[in-house]
Amino acid sequence: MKKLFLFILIPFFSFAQVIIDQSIKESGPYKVGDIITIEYRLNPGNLDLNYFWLRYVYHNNAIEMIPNSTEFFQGASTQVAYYHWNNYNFRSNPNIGVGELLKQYQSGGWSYSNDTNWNVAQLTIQRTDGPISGLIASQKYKIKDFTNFDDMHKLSFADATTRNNAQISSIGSTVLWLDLNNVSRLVSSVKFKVSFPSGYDITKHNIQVVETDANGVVDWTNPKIAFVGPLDTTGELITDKLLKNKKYLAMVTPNSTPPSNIITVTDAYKAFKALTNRGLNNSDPFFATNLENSIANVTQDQSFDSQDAYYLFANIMGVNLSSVQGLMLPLANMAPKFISGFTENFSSLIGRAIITPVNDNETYNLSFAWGGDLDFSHSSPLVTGIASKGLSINATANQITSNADTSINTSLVNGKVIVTIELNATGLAGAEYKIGYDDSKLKLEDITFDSGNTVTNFSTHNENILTFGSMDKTGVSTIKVGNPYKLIFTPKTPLTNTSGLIFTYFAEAVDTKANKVILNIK
Amino acid sequence: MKRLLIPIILFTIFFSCSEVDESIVAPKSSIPAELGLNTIGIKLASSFATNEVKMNVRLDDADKVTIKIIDLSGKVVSSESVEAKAGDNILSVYTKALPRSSYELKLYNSNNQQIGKTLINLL
Repeated sequence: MKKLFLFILIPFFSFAQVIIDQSIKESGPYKVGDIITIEYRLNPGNLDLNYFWLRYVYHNNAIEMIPNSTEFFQGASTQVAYYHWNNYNFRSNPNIGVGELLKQYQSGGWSYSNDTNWNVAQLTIQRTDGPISGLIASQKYKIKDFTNFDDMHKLSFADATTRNNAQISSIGSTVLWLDLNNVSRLVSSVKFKVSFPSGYDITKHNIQVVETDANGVVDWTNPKIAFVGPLDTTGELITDKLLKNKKYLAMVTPNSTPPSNIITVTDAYKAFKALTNRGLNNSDPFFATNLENSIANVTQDQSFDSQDAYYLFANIMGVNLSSVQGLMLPLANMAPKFISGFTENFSSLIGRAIITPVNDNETYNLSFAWGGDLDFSHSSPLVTGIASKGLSINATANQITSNADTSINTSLVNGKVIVTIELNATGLAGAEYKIGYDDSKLKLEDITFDSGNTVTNFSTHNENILTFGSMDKTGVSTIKVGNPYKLIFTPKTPLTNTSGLIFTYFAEAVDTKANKVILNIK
Repeated sequence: MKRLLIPIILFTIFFSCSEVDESIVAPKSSIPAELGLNTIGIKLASSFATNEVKMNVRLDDADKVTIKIIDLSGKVVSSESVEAKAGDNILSVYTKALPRSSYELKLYNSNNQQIGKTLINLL
């Protein structure tokens, strides 16, 4: 009788647990550069799972994911998706066990922090012809030159549903955090490591190594490329293609179209501020470092001057500068203008990165900067360096930032889609917003400005992307608080509501002291 | 033990064998089954979307609610305010303008309290 009693209760209590496990297909030992396959297996117990969702993180100094290597194995009657986000780490809910994957999901307050050591990824499967069970997916990773492979791949949280709405009591794992053992390092390799700002996609850059003569001079009439390769998500690249005791020039170069928002109101305002903020005798240097002086001089003439500042302002106002010869600005239709060198003396621009590998496992730290990127939002962070004209610096004021809230809200009013921007921060000399919209459903009718009478407003409209904002180049006037901008769209088709029709790419501001203000969109 | 077991068995047999008299079932809701909600909150017809996906916003009382689409970093990439009636409100999430990624959809009432949440995967 007790057995019968248990039989009745077991379905309600015991089999409602789901187990998701991860394992490495290939057995060791391993060496740096090997490709491994991580497999994800699901044990649903007796549940008829029709949906499974998993987030995890992996240490990107230990392993590098091979692009497009995700495979799903639950048959044709499935809908699947894989996503990843570079340079974030998951902060679990401290009040819930890290292995309680479903409870971590249900806690809702998911938190991710910028972290260049970790990447986030997500798997989603929906199946219609049977329960999701067994091997669900696999991915390939390359082993990197690292010293500690413990806990390199960690499951963060998970969710699942059943076809019959049966309750799932928990989702757990027997291999929550995955290690890699017995990894041998490469010898005779050279590692390049490039510093980059948080949130920047450094994989859009290559390391290019060019042979030089014994004096470190490149024959640019017939340059000999020794090696070219893309950086990984940590800004690293390892090669064994370089010879020891031979001189090379190492460069960081873009390998795709530059990001569109490198130059913003912050950069333009910094340039104008530098022109006027030169001390009592108006003789102080424009900027604290030679590097800033160099990238501010976008016309590449004798030195930085007001013409450079106006070109930066013209760029954010949407003026087509493609016909201006020699501008060192990251424009989409022009060859990228770019500076790179050794990190340790980059701010002084002492010289380019001439390397001579001598020992095994040498590492070269490199930095780069885009022309005009005076707030270094898309360039290597400017750290302690040799200052120009006797000024000593630890870090430049360029990287002083603060935060303010803004909101971009849409609503359907009398048949029009109204986008209202709210900005209540005070003391802002400039602000800039970039939004996209669904041009199959909306037609832009108007942009209205209520930012104050003495600031210069701007807006550009490129296909379905709008950039707009305001700036006072003197810093005397500030942007009026409240609702400085309003966009009005006419629907092309009948709409019930507006969710997703407007998408915010970025919002940014600068205060009157030329400090960047990061606008948090609430 | 027998006293405990017998009611459980009878209970199980009764509910597994009983037939439903369809003549006394309440009229079918106009809400598609995939959008059905028993409590206040937000539900998508599918967690996968290409250009548009239907959603149900269910409220106890009419209210002005805000639907926010939030990326992994916590940034609100899209925010809409809408006057919703008590009960079910069938609305749309237009996803064509959004970069391909996975987002959270959060529902807030007029007191700015979160009253629902779901996920959307853009294909």
